[in-house]
Amino acid sequence: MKKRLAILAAACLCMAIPMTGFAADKTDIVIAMDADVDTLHPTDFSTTVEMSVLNQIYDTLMYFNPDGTEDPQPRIAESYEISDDGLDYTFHLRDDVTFHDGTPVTADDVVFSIELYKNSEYQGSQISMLSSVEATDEHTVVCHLDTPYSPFLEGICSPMIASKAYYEKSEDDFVNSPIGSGPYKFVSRSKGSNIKLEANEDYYRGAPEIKEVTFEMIPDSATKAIALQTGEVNFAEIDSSTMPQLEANPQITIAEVPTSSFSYIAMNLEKEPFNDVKVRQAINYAIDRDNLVAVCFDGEAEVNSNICAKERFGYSDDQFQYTYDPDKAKELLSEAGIETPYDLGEILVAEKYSNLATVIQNDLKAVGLEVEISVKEFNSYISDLQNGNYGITALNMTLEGDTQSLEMAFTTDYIGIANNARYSDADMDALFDQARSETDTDKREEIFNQIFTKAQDEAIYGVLCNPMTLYAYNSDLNCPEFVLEGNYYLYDFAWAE
Amino acid sequence: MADQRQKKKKSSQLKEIWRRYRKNKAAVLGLVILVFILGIAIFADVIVPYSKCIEQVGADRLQGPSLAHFFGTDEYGRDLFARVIHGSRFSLFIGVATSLMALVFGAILGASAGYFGGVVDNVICRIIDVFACVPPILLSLAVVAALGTNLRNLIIAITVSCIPGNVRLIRSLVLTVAEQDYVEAARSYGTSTPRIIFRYVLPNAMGPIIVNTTMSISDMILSAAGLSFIGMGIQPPSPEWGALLSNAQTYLFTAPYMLIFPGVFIILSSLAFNLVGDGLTDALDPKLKD
Repeated sequence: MKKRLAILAAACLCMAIPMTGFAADKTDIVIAMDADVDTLHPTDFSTTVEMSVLNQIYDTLMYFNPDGTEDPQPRIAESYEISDDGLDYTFHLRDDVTFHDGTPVTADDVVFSIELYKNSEYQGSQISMLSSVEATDEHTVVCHLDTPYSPFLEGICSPMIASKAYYEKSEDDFVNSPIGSGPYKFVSRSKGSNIKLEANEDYYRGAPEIKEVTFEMIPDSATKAIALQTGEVNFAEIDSSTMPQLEANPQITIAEVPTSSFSYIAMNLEKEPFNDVKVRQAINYAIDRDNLVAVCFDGEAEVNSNICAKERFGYSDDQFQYTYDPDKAKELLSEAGIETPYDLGEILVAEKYSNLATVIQNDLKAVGLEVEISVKEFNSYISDLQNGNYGITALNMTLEGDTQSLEMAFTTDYIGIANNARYSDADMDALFDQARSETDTDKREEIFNQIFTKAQDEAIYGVLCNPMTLYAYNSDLNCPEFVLEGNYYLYDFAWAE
Repeated sequence: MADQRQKKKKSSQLKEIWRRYRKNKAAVLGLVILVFILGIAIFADVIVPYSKCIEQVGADRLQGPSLAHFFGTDEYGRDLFARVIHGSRFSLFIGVATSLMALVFGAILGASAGYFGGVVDNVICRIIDVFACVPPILLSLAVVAALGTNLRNLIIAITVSCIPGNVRLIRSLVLTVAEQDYVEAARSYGTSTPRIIFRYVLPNAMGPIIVNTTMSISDMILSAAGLSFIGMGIQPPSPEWGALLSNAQTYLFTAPYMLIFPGVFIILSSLAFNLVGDGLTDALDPKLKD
């Protein structure tokens, strides 16, 4: 109660402080981060917060728009070639790129960074098929593959390019005070509090407009909303529950950014009655996804029963969509020989997904399926999930990057990792294999169309929606349009004149 | 004849206690609130059916208080009035059950330690010391994390965390009572040890124990609310006051009523038990006769 009162009191105080105006010559920015960063290692990071900070410090070979709609933009590599057999990728580097300590970025550094990325436990799955990488001269890097892999180009452009010499000098500094070649230099970090960056005036694309950057740690969503309103923070990812109060403030602009992450119901196909496709279809029909999005995401999610987000490569409206139809669900259940009311047992969830479970429980009850909610601590939940020690569950998952990454949800190899349905089907495995080695875009699209059509027909999962990332920022800040996944680059930000 | 006299004596003693209790206005207020809240818990089903508090009406999400929904609705479109009313059953049940369980364990361990002394005392006290040096909330958390979250485990967790205090209190009371002449007398004509403890020692230490237990109920309600608040309480969709608060915190600014109503009930019930406990302290203390 005490903390609650303190928050209320703080809120009242903040209302009393007039909104601070912004001088036209403002050149600094404060960004709220949800959690502290554990590491600033360019390849061994694992959270979105860490990535957001590192994205400003490091540069990559090329920049890919995550929705795959544009050609890659050159960064450290000014051009690239792919051999006709699709096995060799040659990158030509710019000769005017330097690290923040003044040393030039050479092909050796790129080779070092790619190898570091490939061997990282946290990243690197996208370039696992890389067999070797070499520097043929100071500004040329060649990557060799054993078999053609269509999404390789996108994968090879993800490693952040770091300095080999700096890494060899001190691994501690490499992790704690990183040196990159990106638009911002690392200045200082105070654990549990903030991270400061400053503009790299020698940046090869020109000095950034915003000169000083502070990432301030504010884990509580209500506090963050207040900080945004007082102007203490200029840019933040916000929780949907604080949206109404921020939307009402004319000083604040909100961007709703689609993501490829998905909330879904997973059923253990090794258990009755979930091994029956009719039961799975019935569950898919039983959920009122519009209501679920309104309740659990305050409307900030895109309803979608397909595991492939609508903005993603491979999605098509031809693929079947499940809509809310409780009568159809009851019909399917009786066809499956299920007498309602039927006890489905426990719906196992982690605490943060208990709101999904509460809505699902209600919807399932309406068609005669009873579930009891069982909330578990996150780590033991994940271990039960991966060991197939559950019947039905609801959760949120992100399989970013190329659409190929969705194989983790469907193929036999990933049972016990991310294939939570424990689905195993030779045809499905073969389709993903084909997609992996197909380099023709149209043909790949057709293969993915088959995959998702099959996934929808068999109702392997009960996908619910794609939650959106919400950014709230000061209206005087000019941000370019955010694309799928919502990665942002402060280099593109500027204060209005 | 003797029996009758004893009964008469007992009833007059109760009367005496009640007379002293009545003089304390705050205590009477506490008792009134307590009866009111207990009444709500007992007649919850009569006031509003349980189905109302798990029924989700999508169209009625986050409505403020109105005639249709006295306390408004939550983000699922559930009636908060029904949830608060039925929540009283969970909260009071947890409070009373944990206090009684802690009392039983505390009495057995504390009385043994105090009465036998020596090795028994040492062993029990050292074990209790170990438990007592872990903060209660942390101890409860550890128990819930190990056993899983549900009502039964929540009760076990809270009970475990408040046994040490009870053992210490009862041990110290028994230590003083066990030295009295009447205990010595009972022992001298060969009364069995359990009979001495339960017939002579504990009843004479009863006053402070009753007070302590009454007061601890309010602590227990708060502990349960605290654990539910951080998501280690009972399973959704069961309503419990702490869980209701926890739910409300995300809507602190847009729907403050979600926080206020369960908050008020937690405060009221905790206050009531405390006031009653205070009143009993004075009423049960024979030294304060006036």
